[in-house]
Amino acid sequence: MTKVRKSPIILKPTIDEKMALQFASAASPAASGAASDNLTAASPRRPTAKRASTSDVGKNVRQISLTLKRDLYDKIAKAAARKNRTLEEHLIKHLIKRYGK
Amino acid sequence: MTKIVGIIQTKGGAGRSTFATNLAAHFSFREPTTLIDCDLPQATSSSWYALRQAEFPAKDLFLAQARDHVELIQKAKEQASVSRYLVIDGPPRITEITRAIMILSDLCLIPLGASAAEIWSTADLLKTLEEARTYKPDVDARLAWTRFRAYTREAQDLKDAVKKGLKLEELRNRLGYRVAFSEALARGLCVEECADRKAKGEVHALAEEVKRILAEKKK
Repeated sequence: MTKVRKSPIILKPTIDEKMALQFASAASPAASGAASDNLTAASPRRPTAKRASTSDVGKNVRQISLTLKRDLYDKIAKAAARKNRTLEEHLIKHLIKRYGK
Repeated sequence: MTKIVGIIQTKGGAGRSTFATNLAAHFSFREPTTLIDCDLPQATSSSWYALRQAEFPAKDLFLAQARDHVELIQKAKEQASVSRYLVIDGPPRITEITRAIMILSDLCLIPLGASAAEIWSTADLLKTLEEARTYKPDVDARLAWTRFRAYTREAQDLKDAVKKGLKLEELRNRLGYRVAFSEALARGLCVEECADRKAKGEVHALAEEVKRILAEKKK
């Protein structure tokens, strides 16, 4: 009797498309790794560097210099003097009023 | 029933493509197999496949590529009707596609080299796996050691640390630190087609172990 090589029977797996889509779309921050103390090189947990705060809210970050025409400069200086402020204080006040703190 | 093996690891260079290509080639010796490359645009597995098909065209090994999770699900559904095994090579990130691989796969393999960096990234991956189990309680993920130098103290220490810290099942067979793996990949071969007998033995034993695990799963 001659042997006949049968091709394997292939059945489709049950691919739960809905579940895969649902889980894939529900990415969470859980995967980002957690901080840990007392870590050795062989520790399975990733050490996280303690970084200084990067927020500079409330701090002066940049000085801007402007070139103004004489008449505009005079107007601003006059208005500042009237309010008893320096030129900078007066301009900052106006910028805050326009853009918020 | 078609079985799906997902290779996931967020650390680059951990051996995902080495695993994927060698497993796919091994499975294709006997049954139709599709290798799905999700690590794009790097496309290591696709390049390996292109080389292989140019030199040694195999009629039972197919390639598909998926750029996102929607495409992956679509390709998996298509290929499941022509292949007995699907081997998915994941990207080195926890993205939607990695998450989809966790749900689609009958077995997720996490290649792990004996280095602290790879162990840390695996720890990160575990959190996503736990999350996946809330959707699919039987997500089966196992560690697969690569570039393992059993005779070194460092490898043994890391192995012990992983056993204690990660609490994840491991494949019994491991791949060692061998030139044959990178050589085979560059030539479009699988290690079982190379001369290095030790490397051949390791891949064969590991692939057969994976087959056994898949066979034991509910039909």
